[in-house]
Amino acid sequence: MKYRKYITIVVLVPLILLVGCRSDQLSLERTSIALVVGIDKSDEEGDMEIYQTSPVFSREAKDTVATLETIAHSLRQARDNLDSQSAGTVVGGKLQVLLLGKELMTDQPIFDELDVFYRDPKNSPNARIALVDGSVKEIMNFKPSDKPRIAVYLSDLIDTTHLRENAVLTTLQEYHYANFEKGITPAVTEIKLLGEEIQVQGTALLDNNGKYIFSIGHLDSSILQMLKKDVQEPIPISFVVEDPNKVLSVGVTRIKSNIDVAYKNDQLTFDVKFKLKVAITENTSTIDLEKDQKKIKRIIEEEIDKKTIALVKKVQEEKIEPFGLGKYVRAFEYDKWKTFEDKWPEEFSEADFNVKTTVEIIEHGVVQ
Amino acid sequence: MPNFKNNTLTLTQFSLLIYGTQSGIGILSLPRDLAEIGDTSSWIALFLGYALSVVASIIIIQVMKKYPEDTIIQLFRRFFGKWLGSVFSICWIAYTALGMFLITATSVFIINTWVLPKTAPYLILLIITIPSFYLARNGLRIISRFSVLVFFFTSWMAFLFMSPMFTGDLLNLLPIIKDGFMPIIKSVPSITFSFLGLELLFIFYPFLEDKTKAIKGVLIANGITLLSYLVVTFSSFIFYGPYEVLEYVWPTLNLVKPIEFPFLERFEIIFLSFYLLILATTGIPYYFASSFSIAQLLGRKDHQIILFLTLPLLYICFYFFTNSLTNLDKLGGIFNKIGLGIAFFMPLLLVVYGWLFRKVRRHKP
Repeated sequence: MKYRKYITIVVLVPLILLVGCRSDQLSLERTSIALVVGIDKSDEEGDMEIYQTSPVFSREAKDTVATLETIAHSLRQARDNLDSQSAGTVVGGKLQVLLLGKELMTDQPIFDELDVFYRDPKNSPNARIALVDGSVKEIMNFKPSDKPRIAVYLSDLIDTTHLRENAVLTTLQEYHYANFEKGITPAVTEIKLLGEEIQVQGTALLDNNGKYIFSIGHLDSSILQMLKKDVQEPIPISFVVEDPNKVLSVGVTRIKSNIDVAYKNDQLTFDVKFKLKVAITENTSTIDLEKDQKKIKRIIEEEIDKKTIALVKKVQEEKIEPFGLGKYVRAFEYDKWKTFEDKWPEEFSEADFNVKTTVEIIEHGVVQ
Repeated sequence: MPNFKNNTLTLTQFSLLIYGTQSGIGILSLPRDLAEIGDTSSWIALFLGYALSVVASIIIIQVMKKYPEDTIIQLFRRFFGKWLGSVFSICWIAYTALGMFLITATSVFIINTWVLPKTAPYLILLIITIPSFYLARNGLRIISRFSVLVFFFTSWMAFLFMSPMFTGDLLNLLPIIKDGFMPIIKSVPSITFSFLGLELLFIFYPFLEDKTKAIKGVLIANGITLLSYLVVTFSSFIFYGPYEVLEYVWPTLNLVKPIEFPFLERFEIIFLSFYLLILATTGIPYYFASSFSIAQLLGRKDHQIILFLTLPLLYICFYFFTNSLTNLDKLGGIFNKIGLGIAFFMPLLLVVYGWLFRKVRRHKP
């Protein structure tokens, strides 16, 4: 073929143009990587205070973390402001934690403002969301000498608390899901600055608009996740069995949650059965672990039943539904579900809820 | 006459070539397209789409069987004479060229949105078209070998897509039939679009070595396509549920986005790089089909020069085309409608016409 050579040349020459992706390259020193972003209420109507911390890659700088703040209507606008404050370009793809102020969440629901995290594919959907009880600014400027960078510290803190099931862990992706799924309302981790420590308080429950409703503690968070069937690790629970302060602690090693939904006399009814396998991890009371097994079982069963009912009652009063029970209604009572799918939390507030816990003690350590 | 002898396809090559042509851009938005019409029960319609697509392929084979050495261009000429045949051929060429343009433009758009937002589109276009040209100029056997390679090279993706099934909630799939059968039947058209690509059988068939295996080949090809669609659809429905899946332009891509390693943040870029290969196995056959058809229409033995001349034309078209999601959707809609006609209705007409044609011929002295 005589023109083969020419074709090759004509085709290969433009390839020289393609060396590297010059316009898309980015050097680390010239970026300001947002690891934590905080959003809080601003004094001015409709505005938000937005904070960002990023690691500093410079030998001359003393601090390893830079915290920036600005006031803006939206996150993208804030980024433009922050861009002009920092030496590098603001990069959002490495975001670890998103902090939301409680005051902001109570007054102006925020889900729509998070749009940019989902719209721009460069952003990571795995950032954890945490609600801050108190001032976001204080946490963003929190620099204790015995802790790593705030981004690493916060994400480890939230992850490990979630491992013990003492709080939920909600990523941006899961929040997006909970917001659009009609059979569930969102819940996020709640943290608080207590003096020199940041503590995970438990779980903050939101309504479908992202408005903050109320908070629950550690044990309630565990129950929430048992109902969500989202439990992997052993959950430690302590009970006060004898006054004063005599405690029996157990580790729940296996949980089977069985959730049944049915219409009984036209009344939506949930029958929940928890089957727990527990190991006794601590006993400071006078209960004999061998002889009083029945009594121990009863204590645990009653306690969990009581707590679950109380939690559900409270949730029903506030007209939210963080358990995802709507999915069961959709799956098994679809015709009924169609009639109220857009106002599921209100429908749930009138539902009957029964819970029955059965406990099996599998071990009590190596002493009697 | 083109030289089919040196370019014959084995059964594996034939079926994976068709599979490659079928699984293209449709799979990225398939879960949303389905959920919009048929909610989470629409996956049942995939089986109907499969059945339709197999029937259409078998009809195409029936048309082509009588004249095993003919491609669609020669068939048109044989059936309709020189002038009318040429008109039909030009329509066919326009259709395949549109297919090639659509797939290339979509590839460019996806890379621009997800991977290289600041790189100029024409550079990406160059990166895509130059290897395409190199591959297509060597004929169908090389293209089909590439399809086989890509198939095995990217089959791990199936496992990747299965992983969201375990983190999601199976309850999202229930009840299996939500609002009766009507929504399921209504979502069949959007599924037949996803099976488009089978119409290139009109070009591929003469190359098949053992013509008796043609039906087996299309069964395998459509089967693999069905399987890959099922995996993606189930995963999306289980992971997103019926409401969130509607929120994404390309739910399939967002499905791999939460996958993250400590050393690798945006896994979907790796995924997309491999996915581009799959897109190439869709685009290149259309590219080849259009150039090869032109060559046949002009009576040229060799399609390389036309293949080469198509490229500047493509660049010019691309220059005048605003590559946006709205435009791509519009163009895709047009392509799908024509494709539906060409892949599902034209074979039927040709089969009837061919039967009459032979009958009339036989009675003539």
